[in-house]
Amino acid sequence: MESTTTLSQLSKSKIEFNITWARYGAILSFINLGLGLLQMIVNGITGDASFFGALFSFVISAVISIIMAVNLLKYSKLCKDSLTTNDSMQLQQALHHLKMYFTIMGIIFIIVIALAVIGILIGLLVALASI
Amino acid sequence: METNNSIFQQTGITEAGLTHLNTTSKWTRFIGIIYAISGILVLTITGFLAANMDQVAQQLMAYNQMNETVMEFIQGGGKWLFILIMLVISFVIFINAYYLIFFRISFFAFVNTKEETQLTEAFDHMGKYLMITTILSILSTISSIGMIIYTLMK
Repeated sequence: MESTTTLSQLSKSKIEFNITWARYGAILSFINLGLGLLQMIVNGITGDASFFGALFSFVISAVISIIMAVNLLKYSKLCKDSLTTNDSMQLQQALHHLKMYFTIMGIIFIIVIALAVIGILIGLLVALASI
Repeated sequence: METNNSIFQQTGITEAGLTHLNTTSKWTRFIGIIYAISGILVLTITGFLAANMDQVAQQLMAYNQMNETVMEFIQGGGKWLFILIMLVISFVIFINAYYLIFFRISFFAFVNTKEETQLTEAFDHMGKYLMITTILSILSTISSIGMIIYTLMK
């Protein structure tokens, strides 16, 4: 049988604190997504912004937000269930979802940094070419 | 006779669970470092803009046809309001960086020493990070609602 690190009451209370905020965070992500959609529709109706440009960026951000929020929600739910049933396997699954949440976030950061570096390089090349 | 097994069981983290936490902590360290660098950049840009606010405002005025009232506001109290907002933003970024990096430090200490208090601290840092991001999400929700109302009222 796989060895386990037993959690103290204090650790459990800290995990419960995690559960609460992870759940609220995930729910708010879904609410913000809905509001983002509403804002895009309103902007489209009033003609404030390019609708298709806004739709494209919304779809990309929506997919990422949904995946992240689902992982956070599953982390919260499985953590709660594991503490209720004392099931270590559920806690393991919960930690897998926490890992996925931060992995996605880290990859997004890498992509953003790479795009920023490419942007700076293109800017420098354009500036050098115009001299 | 029916017995409640949960009384005799204790929740624990399996080896696989600890591996997941280890990978998580590596990513949180990376994200935390990026946050810290971003915070330093925000502070540097704020300092640079604050020191040259008059020239920046004049350039903006030339490009965007800003009126005199806006210009006076920027050169007066607006400058300090801008600095205050930027300082709050950088403070929030540094707080996020702190909790993410210290999650890794606490978890790494737990892996080395097997002291459960370190694991408790790691979960504490994670909880506080999640709390701050949720509070920021609330602010984002409020600003989104404000933007929608403003667009509809316009």
